[in-house]
Amino acid sequence: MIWLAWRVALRALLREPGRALLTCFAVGLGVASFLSIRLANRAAVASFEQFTRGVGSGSDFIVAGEAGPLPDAVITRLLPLQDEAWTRPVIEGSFNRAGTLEPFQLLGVDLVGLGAAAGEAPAEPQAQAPLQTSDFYAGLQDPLAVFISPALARAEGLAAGSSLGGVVDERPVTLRVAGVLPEAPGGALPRTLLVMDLPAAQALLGRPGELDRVDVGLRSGAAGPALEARLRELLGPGELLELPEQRAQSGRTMSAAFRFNLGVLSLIGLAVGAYLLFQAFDAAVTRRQESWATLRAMGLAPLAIEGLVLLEAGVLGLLGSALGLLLGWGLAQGAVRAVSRTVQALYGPAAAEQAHLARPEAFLAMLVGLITCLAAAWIPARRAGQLPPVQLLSRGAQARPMAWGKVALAGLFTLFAGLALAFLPRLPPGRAWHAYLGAFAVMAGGSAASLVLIPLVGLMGRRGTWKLELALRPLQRPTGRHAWAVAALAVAVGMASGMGVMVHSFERTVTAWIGTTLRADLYVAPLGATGANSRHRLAPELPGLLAADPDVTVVDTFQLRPIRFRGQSTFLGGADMALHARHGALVMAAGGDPAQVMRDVAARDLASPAAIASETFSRRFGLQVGDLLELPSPSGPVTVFLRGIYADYGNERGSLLVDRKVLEARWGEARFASLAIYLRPGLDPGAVAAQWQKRWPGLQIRSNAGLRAQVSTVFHQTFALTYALELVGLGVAVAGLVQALLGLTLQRRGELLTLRALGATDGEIAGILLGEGLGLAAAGLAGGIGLGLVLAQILVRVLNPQVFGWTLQYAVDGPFLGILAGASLLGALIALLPASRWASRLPADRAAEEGGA
Amino acid sequence: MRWVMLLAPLALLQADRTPDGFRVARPGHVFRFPEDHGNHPGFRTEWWYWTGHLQDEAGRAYGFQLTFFRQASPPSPWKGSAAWRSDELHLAHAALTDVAAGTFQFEERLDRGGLMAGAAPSGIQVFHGSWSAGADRLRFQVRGRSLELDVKALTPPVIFGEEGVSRKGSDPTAASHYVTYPKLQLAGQLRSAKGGATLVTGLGWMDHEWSSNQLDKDQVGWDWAGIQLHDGRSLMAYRLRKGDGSQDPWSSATLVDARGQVTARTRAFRMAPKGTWRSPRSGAAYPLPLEVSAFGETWILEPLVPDQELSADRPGGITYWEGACRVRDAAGVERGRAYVELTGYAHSLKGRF
Repeated sequence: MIWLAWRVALRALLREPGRALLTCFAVGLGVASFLSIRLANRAAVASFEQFTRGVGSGSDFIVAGEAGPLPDAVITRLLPLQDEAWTRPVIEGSFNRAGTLEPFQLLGVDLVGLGAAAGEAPAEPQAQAPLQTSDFYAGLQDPLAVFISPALARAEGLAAGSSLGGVVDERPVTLRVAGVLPEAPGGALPRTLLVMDLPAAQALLGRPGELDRVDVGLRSGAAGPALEARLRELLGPGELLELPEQRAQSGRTMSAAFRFNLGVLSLIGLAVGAYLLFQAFDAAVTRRQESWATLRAMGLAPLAIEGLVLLEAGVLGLLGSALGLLLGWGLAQGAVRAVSRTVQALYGPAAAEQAHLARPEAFLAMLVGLITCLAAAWIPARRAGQLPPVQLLSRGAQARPMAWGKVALAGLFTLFAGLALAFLPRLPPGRAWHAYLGAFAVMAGGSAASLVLIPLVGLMGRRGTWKLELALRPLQRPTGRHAWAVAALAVAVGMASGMGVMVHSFERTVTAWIGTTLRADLYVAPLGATGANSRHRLAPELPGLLAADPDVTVVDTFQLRPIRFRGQSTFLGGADMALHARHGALVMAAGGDPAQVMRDVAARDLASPAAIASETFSRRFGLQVGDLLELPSPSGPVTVFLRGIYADYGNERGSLLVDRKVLEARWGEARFASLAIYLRPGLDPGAVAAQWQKRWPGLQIRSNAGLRAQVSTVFHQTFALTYALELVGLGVAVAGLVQALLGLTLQRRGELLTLRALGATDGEIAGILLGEGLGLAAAGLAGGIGLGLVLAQILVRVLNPQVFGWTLQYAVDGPFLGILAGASLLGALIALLPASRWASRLPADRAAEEGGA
Repeated sequence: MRWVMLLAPLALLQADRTPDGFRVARPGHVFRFPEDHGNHPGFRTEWWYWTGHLQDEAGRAYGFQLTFFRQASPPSPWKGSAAWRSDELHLAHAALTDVAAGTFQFEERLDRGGLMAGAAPSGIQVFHGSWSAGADRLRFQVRGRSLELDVKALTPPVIFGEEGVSRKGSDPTAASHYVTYPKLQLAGQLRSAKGGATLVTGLGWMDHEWSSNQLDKDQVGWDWAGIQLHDGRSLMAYRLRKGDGSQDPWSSATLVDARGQVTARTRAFRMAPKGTWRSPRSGAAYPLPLEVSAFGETWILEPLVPDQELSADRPGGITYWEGACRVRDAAGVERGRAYVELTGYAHSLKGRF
């Protein structure tokens, strides 16, 4: 049997290295796209969680403020617990490198107390701070001293004494490296982490006397539940107790939807690959039906024959998966930055640089590749095992036309069922399994329905030259091989065009939103501010300075402070609503005329304030206009009336806006995150911006047009990974097309020989073959684009609002679809050209010489 | 000759300050209380030191130590914030010796001045985290057991040294101001980790010392004893040890009578080992029991529990032996109680104080 396996299954592979390589390549690409996204996702999430927890995990509880920072003095209230627990006061800030503006998270911790806790908390990374040495004092007695991660130190050769230039808030600062943090026992510290002594950090961030949290850890022998109870007794109003796991969890949930979407996308490659593999194995079985028939005739059991086919598939699957591991790991290194950037833009700091391939991941990827191969080979294997030898041996039995009408009809039915599944159920926000299932059914059904296009393309050949007619004639009565090639291409193109339309819809919506929202002439923010999670703030005196400028008519201020609402972290913003009413700067999703909503909010008094919520906020907490919300504030809970819901595509945690006077009265003065400036009419905003930029180098001052351009750039960066994944899918599909053509050529050998005998040149024969391949490509492409338009409906109208809370306007991106179609056809042409030339020169096979087929 | 005249005031100035600008303990300091019980931030180092012998209602004996150290950082323009000072670090030690159980437990705390630790500018009022000491009350915990003691001084404060200065070496800056309450009446509660409480009473000793330079260059450590004799007298002796093991001539012993008056002071006294106890952790060999001969009398100080070593597990920490002792005379008759401190045996203290 082993001998047989070698002769029949494995040696066959060596004899046809082209086919084996192509199959391996298809498996490899699929596995690679699946693996790379998995690795990149994991790396990004791991780094995100590390940031969420903050440096030096190992705390058991976190004390945080419900409505803003904690006062320093909270630490004295925790002193009675000192016998059972250690405390670690923490302040958090943002720092951006000069030049690159690479964002760093800056943590201020009490370096003395941290060193003292060494004996009690061995898990703390900086616990070994050497005391009583000059190094120790260097970290304590320099207000700009900072400790950097080993990763940064290694990458840039930084050491104690080096300097680190950048911006904090709107001020340029040069930090001095006092030392390198010891590597954390639990894993690498994020590269972009900076640790400072607490009072120095408070001074640097301009937040004297403030803490963002206090980590509390059990001393050995102390009991968690008892400590928790005592902690709760000691906490005052507006202070809350959290478990570190809760914090990490909220970050995980937050980005879960995004990561899930990417994961699904990464399966496209694999799904398209499975189509092709089926086709490849089916072709292999067909090509060697004589061998199978002979073996059957010699008495080999059908099961053994199935085993041989599956063995071949398994070997190819393993080889292909191994190739996929290599490719996937390489792709992951590129993907991880893209994923990190997006996670960071949407949810907060994440700084994964490298994706590591762990053994379980490698095993899973191999398994997925192998199973896909075996599954794809299953039906061909059964066919090889179960067809009666006589039928197998009889010539002309191959390549019978398929019942494409029935298949297409069933496909159409599945497509409509998928649409119904996606659109009909109403699930709570965040859940979208029906939409994913629906999209899957639409893809499967749509690809089957696309088969209708094959005979249609075939009919077009009737009016052409004899070559065109010969090229397209087989499509009039398509075989299974034609069907698989077209279906696979339709799926790949469908996915790509569907995503493309979705991204375009998104872009159009955001552009329209920006057009309404961004009305001011100049926008001023700290240089490092890159998202809602940036902690950079503007100097308190800046709005006054700018307002005094004779060129300025209005300075619109925007404040943002992190708060807890219903136990989850989100943002509370303060804006001048009366000003917004005049300048009309928000798009309302609910609540009526924007100007009226703003006027209503502005008119409310301090006793009964009103607010507007972003769409994401309202979806996240299930709110409607008219609801009364209880918000935590330093002076106790404040009830606000929800007057409207506005569109906001910038921040996935959502935010709630109140009038500035309410924010200041109930939550205290907060520093501004950004300013919108209206200039005297007739002035050149660019010139004013340039003049201000010289005066305040730590500010980013953007003109209206500049800001719009930047939003667009960030937008495309965010979707860079999506485009890359689609390319992989298309690549696999085109590879499949080539494979299909090669298989079809083998089937048509007899006919081609006859043509040659009749005087057709190699070039003419190659042209005929190319025509057939391009015909298939055209059918797959047309089907795929139609499918993509349907899929985009699900993505735009169901998935995005449901998962992210973003209502988008459906917009078809004609140029993109054109480019996609052109690129696919060009790709097909480039791949088919050598294949058809090779096929046209095939030597006559025995069957043809005998006048068969 | 003119240049000598020029340099003279400079030399005077230098003697008043250390090279890095800290004040130096100078003869003629006029002590004012309660002000001088408080913090002296102009000096580099300062400590408030309580030790004592306690007995519970069942007659079980305990010893305790509660120490608050303040250490100024090297001078720097950046001083941190009032809540988190960078110019002042605080170290505290608390230890409890349970004689009947034969156990010794201690805890160390290190923090910066500000919210976590500090000392009032006037009067005895120091705290470090949840440990605190005032003129009439001590409160601290050691490994789950907590002590709360009411304190009453039985004598006025005793000022050691000559002209208010306790010299520690030939270098005139190696000197401190040293104030002691040699007899404190103690009464309070000892709570176990499980919450049970027993009443305790006893006799305590408090030292308060501030300086900017404690040791001479060739000194490696010291042996200190505070002896409370049953006849009401107290004796304080410190022997400064040089690198070669010899006793520095600036070592000193002082005898105080029952009313708190210094009756005799000498540099000619002897401290000698009557045996050796070797620490299983640090490997240091301590001269225990310790024999003290001064003013024509000899006392042998025997540890109530052999292992009363405070071993630092923190890098840069100081390991020393500080413990409760019984005092016998040469004939073996018990004459009193003492606390003994032995430093520089596990590692040299050169350059540390």
